[in-house]
Amino acid sequence: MKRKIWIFPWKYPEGFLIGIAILICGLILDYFFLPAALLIPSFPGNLILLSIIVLIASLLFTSKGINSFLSSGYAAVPSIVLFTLLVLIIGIIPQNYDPDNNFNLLRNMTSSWTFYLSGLFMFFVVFTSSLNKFKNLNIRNLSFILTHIGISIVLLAGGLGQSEYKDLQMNLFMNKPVWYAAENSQNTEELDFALELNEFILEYHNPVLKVSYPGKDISRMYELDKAKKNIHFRNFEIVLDQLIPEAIRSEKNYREYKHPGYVTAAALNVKDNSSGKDTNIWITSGSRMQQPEIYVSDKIRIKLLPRSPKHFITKARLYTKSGVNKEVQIQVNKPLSVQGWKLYQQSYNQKMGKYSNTSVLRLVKNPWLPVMYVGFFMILSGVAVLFFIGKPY
Amino acid sequence: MINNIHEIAALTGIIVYGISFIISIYENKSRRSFTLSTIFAGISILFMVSILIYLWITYKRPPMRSIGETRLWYAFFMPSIGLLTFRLWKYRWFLSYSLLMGIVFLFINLIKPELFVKHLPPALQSPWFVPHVIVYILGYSLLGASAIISVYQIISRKTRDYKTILLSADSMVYSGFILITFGLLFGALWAKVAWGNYWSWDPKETWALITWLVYSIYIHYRLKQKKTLDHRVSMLFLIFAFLIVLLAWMGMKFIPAAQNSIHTYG
Repeated sequence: MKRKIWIFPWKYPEGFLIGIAILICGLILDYFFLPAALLIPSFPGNLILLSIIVLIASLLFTSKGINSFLSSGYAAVPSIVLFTLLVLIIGIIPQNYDPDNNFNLLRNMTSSWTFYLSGLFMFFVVFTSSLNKFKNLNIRNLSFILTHIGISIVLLAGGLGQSEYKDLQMNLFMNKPVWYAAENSQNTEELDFALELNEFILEYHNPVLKVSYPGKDISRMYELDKAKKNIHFRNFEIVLDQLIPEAIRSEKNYREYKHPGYVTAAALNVKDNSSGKDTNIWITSGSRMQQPEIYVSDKIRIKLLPRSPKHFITKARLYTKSGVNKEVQIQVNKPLSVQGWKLYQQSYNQKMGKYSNTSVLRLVKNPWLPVMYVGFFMILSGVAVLFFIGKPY
Repeated sequence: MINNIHEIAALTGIIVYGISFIISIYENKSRRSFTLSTIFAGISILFMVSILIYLWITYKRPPMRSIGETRLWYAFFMPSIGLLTFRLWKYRWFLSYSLLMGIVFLFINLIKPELFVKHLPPALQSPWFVPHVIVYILGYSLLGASAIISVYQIISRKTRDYKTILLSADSMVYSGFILITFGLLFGALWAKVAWGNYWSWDPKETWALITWLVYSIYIHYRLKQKKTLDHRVSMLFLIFAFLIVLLAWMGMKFIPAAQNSIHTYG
């Protein structure tokens, strides 16, 4: 007997029809209104919205037919398929991050109603299915609850917390306090604190020599370190006589020059074991001011690779309106927390290298981050439990 | 010519792992219990640990500065997590596979000693780097295995028993999916510390998410399976899903949106 549509229990036809309906609603909203990301209110509006959403979810939970549908694969698959198709658009079409001007659904997908409604559909499915598992708390259901409530939290925090997310860029200048940061090319925001760049430290990895055999495309790389042994390459023996990390050419040699425009210079003795002859050469890395020096013969080519940064640190003085005055440090992988902001080392004047007199920081404020982390950790614990349970059958 | 600690370590490691690998193949083929393999795998892993500790003490810093050094960590983590997965999920082939992967990384170090000279940029000097990559390699391996047995079943049609093969595939999808979930979230937690935000819809991230979602669709689709036709569809889906994995992993060059990914380091 063929089941009539919209009579419970709902299965894939109803599931996919609901998915399509949500897609159409999203498209209509995107056509007539501003994108969701701009309309979702910040505190306390987003909390009110959160409560309304959870209330609706609870109401859906009380309806037996809808509840059993939302907790089943018949709702899960369409909701994930819809979301996946939208993420696929994000993955294929280059996105631009300026929804204020020229909103284009395909290029501003992450701020669109279509995307938000699809996320909401997934939330209702994921949340309702978690609630049902509370009836029977065995270990497998526990892991289900952890992962699915975790996902619910991530979806809600991601959608509703976005309005309070702030991302600014702050340019620091040597010995000049800066108390503002830029949102984009037009807007700047005044901060309750100031930073004065005192020192910018950039340390490079040891210099690397590249030795190659012309014609046969054979090359090897060696780290130059005074403590290390001589380099043996084919019939050649290369001895490092002198290494000047920051140097300038001085007649036929190089001398120390700790200023912008320096090159890294290595004095090498290159001995050809097949002929017994040896020659003394300088190999340098090159800079804006000086050409690199390389060694080319018919049997060997030697050059110094551009220096690669090991780490760079911003040393600054922090001033706050509340009277704080102290030295701080910011580097990659070690952000600084100031008054609810997290400050990240983003870049510096790369042309000046270690003599950069500016440092660029990224400032991020994300009050919903702890909520997001709770979601992440619930998902991680849930899958960890599942991993240790082993085979699903 | 072997003239430094890295090469000696790599060669010894290959020998130790190699012995464990051969024992594991033997125990698998003769259907014995894997006691001896487990013991030898354990010895190999301890050997890698001692190498890493030795380097840490000698250099007075964690051995995480060059690409070659990260390969040493891969050679440690792959068999460790592989051994754990093997014990928990009972894939007969997985221990041999993980040991082989360990050998591969050590071998790469041996034939390309300049990897020890390819220094990591500051963003990659993080304890998150190796775990993030390892769980992805292992996870994708398991998902690949599920695709392989699906291809094999569809082509050979050896037995009409799609259901049993599919249950094996399901198991590999579950364990693989768990590992890539770890990978996705480790990446997010690392991104927050290194770059400022846990998610930026960077193409590599987006495609990792697409992969995760596609396997999620599979897992939820399998909840309501009954007929043989469904089983064949499931297997085709697994093959399609693995193509998405390949695209996410290696196909970034072909997607116009991905040209400016922050995951590229040149």
